[in-house]
Amino acid sequence: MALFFDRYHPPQRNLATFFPSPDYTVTKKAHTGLNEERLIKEIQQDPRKFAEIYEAFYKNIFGYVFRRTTDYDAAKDIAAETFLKAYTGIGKFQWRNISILYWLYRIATNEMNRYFNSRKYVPESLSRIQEEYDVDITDYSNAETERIQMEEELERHQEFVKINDLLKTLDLKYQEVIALRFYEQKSLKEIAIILFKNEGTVKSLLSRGIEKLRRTLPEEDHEERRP
Amino acid sequence: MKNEDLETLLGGMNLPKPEQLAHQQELKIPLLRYKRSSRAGLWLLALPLMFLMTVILKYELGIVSSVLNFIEGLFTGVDENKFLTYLIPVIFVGLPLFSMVINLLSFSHFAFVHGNKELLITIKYRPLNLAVFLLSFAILVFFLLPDTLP
Repeated sequence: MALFFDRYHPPQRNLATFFPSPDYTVTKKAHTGLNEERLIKEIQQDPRKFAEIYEAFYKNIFGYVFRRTTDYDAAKDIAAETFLKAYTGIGKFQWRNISILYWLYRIATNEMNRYFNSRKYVPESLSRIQEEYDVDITDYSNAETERIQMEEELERHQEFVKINDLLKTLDLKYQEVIALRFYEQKSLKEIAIILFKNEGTVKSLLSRGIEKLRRTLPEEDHEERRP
Repeated sequence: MKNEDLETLLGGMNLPKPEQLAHQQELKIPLLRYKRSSRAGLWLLALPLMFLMTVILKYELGIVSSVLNFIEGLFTGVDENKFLTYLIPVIFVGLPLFSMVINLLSFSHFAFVHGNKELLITIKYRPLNLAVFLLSFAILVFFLLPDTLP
């Protein structure tokens, strides 16, 4: 398991308590229909097979990051950094009946913590790849069109934008669980796996996060929505 | 508003969903071509470095230790074996040489311009690869230098 949750964030907890029973598994074949166990073995033999993981999960991860940051360029950088870290670390990934998507969510969450904590976020691995191949993947012919489309998508979801702006004022630990629960529709068990926390801790963070978010709502919202 | 109402609001909220992501394909190819070579270079140097450190600690600094004797004995055993002795040049010359080459390739770029008949050599600033390259070179020089030099 230590190898599952990547080397960037080594576990601090006794894993025996984290996985209380051997059949504690979260497999989501519905994610993509991929046979991930087989695919991971194949990737370890032939890294180019990682393209299947990339194709299957890129949209999930980009969507997650975009909904949290509401910034097209940042989302693109963070999603790219996430997959690059996964690609370079997948050799050590061990299949434990847990979809690789959760691992990707975890890397993306850590990258977003870096993004929110620093004034100028630099995707380090991505910078290296761009330097190495003399390409700027952030600058391509459709970039402007896509950026406009994404901004229009946000404009169509004003209620989401308003709530998300308030969510960003909370501590990151609350942002993470609320975003995963309500934006990504993950269960407490899934969030526990992604964030490498106990389910009870996630439940408590979610409850406190919602309470804090409620307090940040403007007064008129309290009045308007009061039954 | 109660917490439960906010939960209902969050749960039923319409979310922005990116559909057509053209940039996804732009990243795919450079991502799948990305490799790290400096680590490979370091692993290649593990054995010659271990022997080198043993020699320095034992014969230059005069440190006496059973561990150093064991390592030295290990290499001596390989050297004296009729078949394994062929591994010695591979370990002390082949591995550092290979490490030098892969690291050199990782921070340099060669391009031949046909029109001008020019060979353009670009050296990228990649400190880790440069350090491993120099270390490999130093190890190679150490093992290739004749013992008779002053």
